Amino acid sequence: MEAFTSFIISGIQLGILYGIVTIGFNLLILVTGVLNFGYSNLLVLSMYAGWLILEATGNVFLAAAGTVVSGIVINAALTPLFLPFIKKRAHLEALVISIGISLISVEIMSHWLNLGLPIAFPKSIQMSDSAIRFGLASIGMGRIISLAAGIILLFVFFKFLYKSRQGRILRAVAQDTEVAAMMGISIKKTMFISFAMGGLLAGIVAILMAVSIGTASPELGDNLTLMCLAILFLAGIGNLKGGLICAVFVGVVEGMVMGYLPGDWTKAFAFSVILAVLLFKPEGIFGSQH
Amino acid sequence: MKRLFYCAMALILTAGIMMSGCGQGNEPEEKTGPAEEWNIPFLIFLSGPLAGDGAMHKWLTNHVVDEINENGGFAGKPLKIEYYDTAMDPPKAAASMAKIVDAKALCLIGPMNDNECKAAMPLAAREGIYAFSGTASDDVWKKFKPWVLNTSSTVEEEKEYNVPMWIKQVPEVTSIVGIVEPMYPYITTVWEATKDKIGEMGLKTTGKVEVPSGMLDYSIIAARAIETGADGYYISCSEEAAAKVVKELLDRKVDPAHIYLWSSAMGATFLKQSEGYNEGLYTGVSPTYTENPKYAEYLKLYMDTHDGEPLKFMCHFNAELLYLLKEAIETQGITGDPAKLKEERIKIRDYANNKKGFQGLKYTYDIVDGQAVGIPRYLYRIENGTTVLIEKVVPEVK
Amino acid sequence: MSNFQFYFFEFSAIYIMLGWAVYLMFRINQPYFGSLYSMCIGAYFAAYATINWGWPIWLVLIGAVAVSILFALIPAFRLAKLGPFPMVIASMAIMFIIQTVVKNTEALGARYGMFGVPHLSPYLTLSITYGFLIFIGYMVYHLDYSHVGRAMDAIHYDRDVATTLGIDAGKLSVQFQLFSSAVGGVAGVLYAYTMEGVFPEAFSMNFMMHAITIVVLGGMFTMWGVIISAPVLWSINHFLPENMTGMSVIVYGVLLIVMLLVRPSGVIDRKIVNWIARRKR
Repeated sequence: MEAFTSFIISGIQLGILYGIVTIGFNLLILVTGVLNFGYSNLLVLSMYAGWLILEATGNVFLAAAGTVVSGIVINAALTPLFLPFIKKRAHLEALVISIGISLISVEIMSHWLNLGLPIAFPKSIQMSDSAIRFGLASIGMGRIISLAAGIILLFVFFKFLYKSRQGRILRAVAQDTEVAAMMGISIKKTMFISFAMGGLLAGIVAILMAVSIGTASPELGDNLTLMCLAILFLAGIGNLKGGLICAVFVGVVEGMVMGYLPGDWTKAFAFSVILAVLLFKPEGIFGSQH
Repeated sequence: MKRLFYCAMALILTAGIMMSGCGQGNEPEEKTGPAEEWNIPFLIFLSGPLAGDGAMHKWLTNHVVDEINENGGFAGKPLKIEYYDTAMDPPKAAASMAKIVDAKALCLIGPMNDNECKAAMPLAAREGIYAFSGTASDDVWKKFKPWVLNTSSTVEEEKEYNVPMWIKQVPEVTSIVGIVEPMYPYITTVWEATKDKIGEMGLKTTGKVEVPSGMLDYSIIAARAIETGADGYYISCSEEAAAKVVKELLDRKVDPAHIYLWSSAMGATFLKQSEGYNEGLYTGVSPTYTENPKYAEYLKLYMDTHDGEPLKFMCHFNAELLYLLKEAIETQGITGDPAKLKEERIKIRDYANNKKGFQGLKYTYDIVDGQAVGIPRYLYRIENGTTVLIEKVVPEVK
Repeated sequence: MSNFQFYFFEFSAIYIMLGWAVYLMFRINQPYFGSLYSMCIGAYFAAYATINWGWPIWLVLIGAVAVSILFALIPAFRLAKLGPFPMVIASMAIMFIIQTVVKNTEALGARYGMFGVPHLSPYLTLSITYGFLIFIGYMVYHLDYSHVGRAMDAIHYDRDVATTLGIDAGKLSVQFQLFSSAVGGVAGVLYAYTMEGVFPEAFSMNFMMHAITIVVLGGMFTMWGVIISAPVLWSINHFLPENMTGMSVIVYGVLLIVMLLVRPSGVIDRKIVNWIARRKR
């Protein structure tokens, strides 16, 4: 029983991490229609940027700011590559562009950053010394903080998307680009804003990842992409709340499988669940809002 | 439109035939006589997520080449390494091997990892070109011998020394759990053998916890391992995963002396990522310890020029084989003459496959049938973030 | 023929076949990658049948095609209903599951893979491969330039409209899935014979990304682009100058992006095809 609870708790933590990354994917796909394979690689790249600043200056706040800024800058700078395809709604071409970006960003990390070796953030920022323990379960303070921050982030983001003027514009573009353009909304500007927003989210999530898992490697992004995309479609494209619920669900499934089955089957089992849902409920569990 | 199809097909066919025809006509002119320069190909991954590792191998190899050239090259003629990038892609590895075969290379260094070996070695074995692959691992070696050299330890030696040396230090351990990430088959094979040894020693194994690759969170693995009721932990996963598992184990009050890290789990990355959580662990490899002053020099040079990061433990495996090749060429009277290619390839193979007392970059060992044996076994304890040698045993070669 | 030329032509043909299999499904707006996991199935079937039963290549080919079609049939009717992105994810999931099953099946060599597929002479292998390539090309061409091709276009632009025009998109999708899988099966057998073995890591996610890029870069609206993009993309690192070894993936990535920005509809689009067709007449 002790082990069981610890599996559940770890699964939920895992799920929340997935959930936060999924929001970024969701935002981009919702507003721009781009399934960005490179998104989590760019997120990991922001983690590297933060790590480099931390190594150079030793200042945590500067590093955090650097992570967010690099997230925004990298993502916004790449917008022009996607623009021509977004306008034509050429989703597959945009997908290939994003594959190109993800390949290049992995190569940048494995060739030139930290000699291609995985990076580790100082243990102090993970705050794992002050962990909450009961039985076999143990949650570091960093995890709790990132969890709380993640939920707050979600809340703020929802508020922005549904209550603010800019949020309404983003949603209008997502629903019908042409009509939105007729209403005098600048599509180009909106795209830049949504990519920058995606970058902002990536930057913040990069900080949360640094605090909660403490390491990053060139392969990390690919591992995240796979799981987050699967969760995205499990929940239904553009369904933000559903995405979070599904992420936690998948996290717990993974935790349980990892706890009771041989390691190899962890991802395969999670994918079987996702496949079953896709085959019998193609719109996702919670339905698409695209 | 139908004509378009036929035209296109005809075009493809003629292009194909012409290109293959050209290839035959354009074959490099057969040079005769001894070689003026030794062009040795190295099949290696230099792009992809493991490019960093590849770069380390390349760095060390280049320095060894410079040193060899300063001391007269091979039989007085300069040595040049040609790198063939596999990008970790099996078809590319196979095609690179084909290029090496076409270039009528005397032999090659590499291929490096299991998958590249599996993709490239069938062709090499058929063509009879010898691969100095330090890192081929036991099972690849078995499949493609006598055409491949393997200088990583045999499963038998891994079995006989790893756990016994560790248990000697911590006799209170009575049952052991294996925390294994099956990245390549060798890891699992060694664990299975180790399990038998643990039984022979009168101890118990409480099972194997398989670690999935690329997870964000490893606390479940730690909890599961503890739940088996073991009091000893044998960890063979990637350095990153190991750092996380160890941290979670120590968080749950496991005695660090009761944790043994197998070679895949130990290295500079592990030490860095587990900073503050690695005091008192036992392991069989060290990224910094060496008895050979020459290697110590290389290590120091690398650390000085690369932010104090040491070379990975596996790096010497391929580079040092150049010394073996040098010996083979100089003692067997190899000329590099294309006319004698076939027999010289076999001479090199036979020399390299059975060599007593080869002085590698880190230690001296014997090669029997293309497999390194008698590799010294070490036991280290991690103290203050570095490895401290506890015991060294040189296995007896039967 | 040199060894490298053999690999170059062989893999070019295999990738062109795969490209066509993927292309057909792209045309009806369903990025289905069943051809890739069929390739895995075909390759393993070839290895198993030749090593354990000693089957000759023609029997292996028939068997592999049958097995891949049967396998593709299981999810086919459900997959036929999916939109583009869910299709990508479903394919990814199936591929991952198959890979995991293979990795853990002792009879298939588990993580070691299977080796010892007989080596055929390069000319025989190439003749079989190019025979199939032309046959498959003819089939795809036939589909492309018939009423089916027009139905494909209709579905690509608007599936609902196509349905109201009396086109059974679901049925077409199932047929294409089976065809793609059969092609994948053949490609797999050829792959196993070329590599003289097969192992699970050969069919990874990268492989799928590679297939997507071949088709999109070559041109999604004609079958001809694949003929250029497949050989160029897979062999890019063999033609880089020596001081750029290790940069192949970056070059690949940059090439993808630049090419798509310069020629968004692929290397060979319909305009070029029509232009050539007109001049030929």
